[in-house]
Amino acid sequence: MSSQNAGTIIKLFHGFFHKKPSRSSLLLPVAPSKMQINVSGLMGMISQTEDDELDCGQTYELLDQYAEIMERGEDPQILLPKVYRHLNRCKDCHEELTALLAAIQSDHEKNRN
Amino acid sequence: MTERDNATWLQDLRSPGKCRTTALADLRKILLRGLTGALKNWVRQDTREFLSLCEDFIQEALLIILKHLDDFQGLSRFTTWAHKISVRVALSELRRARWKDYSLTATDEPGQSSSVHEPGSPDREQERVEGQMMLDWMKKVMREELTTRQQRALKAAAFDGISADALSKKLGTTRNALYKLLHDARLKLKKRMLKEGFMKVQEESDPDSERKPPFEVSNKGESRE
Repeated sequence: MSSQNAGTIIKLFHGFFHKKPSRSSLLLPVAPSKMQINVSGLMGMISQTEDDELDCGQTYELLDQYAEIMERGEDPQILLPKVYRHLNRCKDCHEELTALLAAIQSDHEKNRN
Repeated sequence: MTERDNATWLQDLRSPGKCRTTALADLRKILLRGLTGALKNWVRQDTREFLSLCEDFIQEALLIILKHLDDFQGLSRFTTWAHKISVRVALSELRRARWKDYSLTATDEPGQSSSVHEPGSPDREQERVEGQMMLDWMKKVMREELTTRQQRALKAAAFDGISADALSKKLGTTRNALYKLLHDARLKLKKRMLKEGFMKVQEESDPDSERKPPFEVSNKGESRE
């Protein structure tokens, strides 16, 4: 066997046994209740639909400011009401706010230690 | 690690050479500290692949940050703005991975794959029946009022709980365009609800009335109100 073929086989061998796990295999399972929507909640959300709402892009632009408002203990419902209402409607944006707040807190805690 | 204010971050990241390299290294550490906290409820952290995954996300986030330095307006801390970008990168990717096997089908009726669930209330027969009636009404109205694309999107988002990120990819559109599609759908359904007397006019005019959001809300990181 040539050294080139041997090298290829060794790479394949290592690749087989040291495959990077797929990202989906690292995901924590989500409890089914977190993924289902309640119908009355949906109808409530529909009833509160406004003609003029912020979309996800506009909300994202303001999310860092929103997070710092919460960090300071101020009321974002008063200071950024349209963002507040979008976050009550949009699960993805709400998740990102939650994760952002956790990131800020984690950064502060580890920086202190 | 050097403490920097917003102006110093921008200056250092725009400078050539060692100044920029050091600033990037510091920012990488800060983002890593943040992501390990942000992804606690998303990814198993007890594997050696977790750090590698975070590094991948941070690398992508740093590229976006450097490309969009001029967009930073200084209305928050620079590090908060940077954390926002790295969280968006990470969650977008994880959502796509979570929902990669979800299939959009035009023939599924909304609610077919979801059960009626009223969080926080006991599993009583009357509530279940009422919930089913509401669901049946919703299905009927969606068929009558919405386009096929709107029905499909609303069913996926509202009944199957798929994330907007993942759904927009599957529909071949952007998250903003999807939001507008669903917004238009909600406006149509609201008009129908008004017409059929499901809503009173004073409910309509009070968007800040305290209502539960239609999805489960985590208490982590919520405002201290």
